[in-house]
Amino acid sequence: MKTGLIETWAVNPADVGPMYPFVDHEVILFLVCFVFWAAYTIWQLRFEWRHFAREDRELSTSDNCVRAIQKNSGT
Amino acid sequence: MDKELTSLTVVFTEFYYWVTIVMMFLIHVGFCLYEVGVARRKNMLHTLMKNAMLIPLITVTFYYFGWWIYFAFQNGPGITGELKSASWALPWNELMGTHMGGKPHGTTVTATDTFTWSRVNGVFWGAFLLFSWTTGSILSGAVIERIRASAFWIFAVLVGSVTWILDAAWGWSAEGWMVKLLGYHDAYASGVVHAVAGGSALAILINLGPRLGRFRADGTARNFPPHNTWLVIIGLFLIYTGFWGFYAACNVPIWDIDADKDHAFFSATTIYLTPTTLSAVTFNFLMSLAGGLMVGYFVSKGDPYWTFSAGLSGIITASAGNDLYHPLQAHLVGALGAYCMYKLHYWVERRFKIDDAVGAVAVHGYAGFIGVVVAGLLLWGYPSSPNAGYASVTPWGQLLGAVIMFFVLGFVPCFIVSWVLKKLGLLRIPHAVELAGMDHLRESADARDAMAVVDAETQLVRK
Repeated sequence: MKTGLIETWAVNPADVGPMYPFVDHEVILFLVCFVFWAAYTIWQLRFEWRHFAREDRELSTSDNCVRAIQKNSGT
Repeated sequence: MDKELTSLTVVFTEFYYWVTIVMMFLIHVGFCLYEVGVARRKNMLHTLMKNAMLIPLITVTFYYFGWWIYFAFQNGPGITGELKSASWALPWNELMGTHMGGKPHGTTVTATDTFTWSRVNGVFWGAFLLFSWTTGSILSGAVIERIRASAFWIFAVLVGSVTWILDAAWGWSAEGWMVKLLGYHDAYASGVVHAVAGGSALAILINLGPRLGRFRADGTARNFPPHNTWLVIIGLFLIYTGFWGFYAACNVPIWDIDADKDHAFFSATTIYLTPTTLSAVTFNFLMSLAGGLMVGYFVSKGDPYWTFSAGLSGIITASAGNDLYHPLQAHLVGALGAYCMYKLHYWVERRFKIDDAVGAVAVHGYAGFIGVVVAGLLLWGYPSSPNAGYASVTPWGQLLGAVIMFFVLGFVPCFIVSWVLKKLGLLRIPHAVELAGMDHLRESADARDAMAVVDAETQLVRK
């Protein structure tokens, strides 16, 4: 089983091209990573939206908000 | 050194390793910030000194015997050959001193030895020394706030000047037996530095026990928040920066890789003298860091500490094959390593009540182990060496290599030594000191001195 094109290093190095495994699968690899990035971005947007919605609800009374302001007043 | 091009190559190599040492210093600045930030205020200064003093202790012991171990033990010995001669690495040898590379003074080295080692020995030793400090620092964070500094320094010397350099002789040298027989491939030291240090830390933690109050009666863990999260993050960021030096130092900057002696082809190589490029390493370092950071942020819900720790574990997981991976492969390997690291840390904590103050076992040990294993799958069939007759990279060779790194050379020696120290009452600080804080006496003395100054100034005003 071989994942790369390199079988031995005892060759003319000038003839060696790509050294990474699974040559010719670059497009699939790119698509997988692109989807990973897109999924991460969507997740992060939703996560942050839920986080701030929850915080906003908790701070919606003036008492809670004033307490938070006073707690952070030393910074 | 009378030929200009040869001299240029030698001096370039000398300077190259010298610069990497400077960069790797930042790893240790980072570790100090990181550990002091994680520690509670009552233990800050003691934590700082415990980590900082590994520097001189590993330095001298690495000079006395660590450097020699690297060259002498590559065959086992007794596995692929005998103990190798390495006179240039013996502490009393003329080549371990300032040397112009000319005629040898004694008979233990030849003219070839003096030409080869006079300008490279110190900088090569120095680069390896910084890796040694790194193994010690990895241990240091896990055991803060309850280990005796004297015990820790014994472990620092054991791992920093004996077990890690022995595993480097075996699996991180051009002629190491693990490379010959197992095809072991670990270009940027996932197993050789990180897994061995992580395994060592786990062994010590088992005998050391958790910090007082860390676990409730029902076995659930209490969180001990860092006293300064910002300091911790800056520390991790500096470790990332120093890690660049680590990667560069793992390479040989320029080597003739053409097997045909009638031609020459110069390239950067790994420590195994297999070709790579700094361009590839730059792509892969950054993409594996990105994978780690993204997954770290996801699994920890944006916790700064775990996000940055996961970035580091992403690099560590991909390190075994970062000389050859495609950057997108390095990215996914880093992402996988970060996920596994986070989940394993908390599983081990819950299941076995292991108190690892900084997640060192996970970030370095588990991520390093996984990285070596993954390299066996992704680089299956690759030649491990330009030398004829060496095994190629295989999943089973890498798995066995990972086990040797994490368990045989990491876990076992430190378990034995920590068990002995525990039985002698030399491992852990007294409970009362732990509760009051290791800086308690110093803080009390400082407070008294401050009051004395106030009294003196008050007297001056009243005169």
